[in-house]
Amino acid sequence: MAHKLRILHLDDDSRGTELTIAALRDAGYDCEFVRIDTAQLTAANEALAESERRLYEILDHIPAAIFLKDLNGRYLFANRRCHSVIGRQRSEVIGKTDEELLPPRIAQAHLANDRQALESGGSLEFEEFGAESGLEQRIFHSTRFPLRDSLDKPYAVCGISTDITERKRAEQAMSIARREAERANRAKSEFVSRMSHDLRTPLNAVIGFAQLLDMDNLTPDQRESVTQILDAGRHLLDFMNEVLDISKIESGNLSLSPEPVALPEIVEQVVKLMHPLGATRQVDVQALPITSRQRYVRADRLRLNQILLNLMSNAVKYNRAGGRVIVSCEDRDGGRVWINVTDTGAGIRPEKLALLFTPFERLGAEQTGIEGSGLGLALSRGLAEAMGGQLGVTSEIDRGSTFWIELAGVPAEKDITSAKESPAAGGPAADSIRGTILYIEDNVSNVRLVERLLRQRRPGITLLHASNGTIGIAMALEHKPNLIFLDLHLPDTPGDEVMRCLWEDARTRDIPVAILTADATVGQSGRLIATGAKAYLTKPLDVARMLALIDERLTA
Amino acid sequence: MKNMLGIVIGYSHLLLDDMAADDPRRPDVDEIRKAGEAAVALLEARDAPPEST
Repeated sequence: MAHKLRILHLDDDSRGTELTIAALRDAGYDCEFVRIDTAQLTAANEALAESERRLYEILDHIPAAIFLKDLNGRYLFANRRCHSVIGRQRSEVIGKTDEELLPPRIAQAHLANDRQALESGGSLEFEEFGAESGLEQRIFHSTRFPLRDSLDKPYAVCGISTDITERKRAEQAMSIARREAERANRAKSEFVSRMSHDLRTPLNAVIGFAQLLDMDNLTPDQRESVTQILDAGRHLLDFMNEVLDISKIESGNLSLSPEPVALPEIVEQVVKLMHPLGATRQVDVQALPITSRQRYVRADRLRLNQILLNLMSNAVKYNRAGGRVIVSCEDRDGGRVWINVTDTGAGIRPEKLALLFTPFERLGAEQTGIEGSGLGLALSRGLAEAMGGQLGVTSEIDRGSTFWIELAGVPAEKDITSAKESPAAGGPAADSIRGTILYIEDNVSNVRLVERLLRQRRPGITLLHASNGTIGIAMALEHKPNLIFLDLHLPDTPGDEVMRCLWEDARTRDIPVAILTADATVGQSGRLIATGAKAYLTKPLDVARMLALIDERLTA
Repeated sequence: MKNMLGIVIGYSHLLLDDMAADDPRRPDVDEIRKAGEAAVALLEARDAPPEST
């Protein structure tokens, strides 16, 4: 039924226009009266406009680009940042699409993102390019989501985009810097190990020949000179090994062999080793009975030994005359164990505690005449951490310090018998040992050392020399020596390749091979022993060990 | 480090002075002296400014 509307009354005054409308129905004035107070309407409109103005003001100050586009991609709204990024005035943007405003590649990408956001129905995030006029390409992080009307149908897509170009650049710079740092670190480690490797050869000669001389009859003056040379050589070697170890730890190249280590034995061993040093300083070194429940810890035996020796020699050196060093073990939370080394020294000031573990930092001890490289604690801590443990210290001025190593306890196992080397019981007369030894080695100085050693100490032995692997194998076949000393670092073939050849040939398989290696890692030697090597000797040559090995093999 | 090497070289000179010209141990001591000097040379090469790459 159609209604006619007739204005019945129009009243205009200062408050606004009052309009009364009647809706007429067909048969007469059956009407409804509607009064519209336009003042209210105007006020409402003004409030709305005010609210919108406020909103736009805020939007225009937001540093992100904010826009609304309709379903055809036309801009319904663009805040100041948005149209400034596009490079146009607001009026030039509203009603246009990205294809009309932006470079084609960028417009395509935006279109695709808009579509995706509308289809997903939720809020999506993108990284996309924008082109701020006059500037180089920027990267934006954009959140897009559909706007829904009162019937929950999407009618527009809203986007909020932030310029992340700087952040991206910073990320890139950081990853470049990190790669650079890693490369520099690797270069440093390589340099350190190359330097150590190069220095090893002359050091081996110094220590080797000094050992030889030491075994001879010397005048008191001569003996003092030789002792000094030997001590200096050994100190140098220790220092080089410390530097190498630290470098390996830092580059993550340190190889460890963790196993259950019995606390009572290792503590007793170390304490015994420390007695002579303690005696010279009048320091009493002792171990308290192990009362911790845990009696085994998971550690690399050799390295734990190294740490304990370091801590204990510090405890003795930085002590007072008549003082004490005590080693004890205690249980800690989580199945961990602390090995404590306590001294009665002068203690360490709190501000210096933090510097203790810094490499080369001796905290003024350089002035006191106590010798040390400044690397011991840094290395010990690195080793402890590499074993999954920790190294720490507590100290009290004038009372002393306690250095503790924390390690994981291991449930007690059935008696783990460690292979103890039984001391060679009264060897056969040196002169009567006869035989042939083949020494495969490229370093002339090492060969001369062994030559001299044998000539002096085991004159009944003939020494043959091969300077590379190929010649070595040939000579082994020809002369069938009683024992082969094989250096692993040969110019033509790697030592383990030579070993394989000797092993695979039935004619040479039975000749015992002892490998000489500068690389004292247990893992490699273990592997080689499994493939036929009978023993390994590390450089610098321990003359006594070599002689013992020769005696053992040639008197079989 | 160089201190230690200085000790090695120094005492090997002392030993050489102390031994007769025909002492069979001279060659051994000489090996020690030469090795010490070689090590010092290595360290000095390291400390020298690097050549242009």
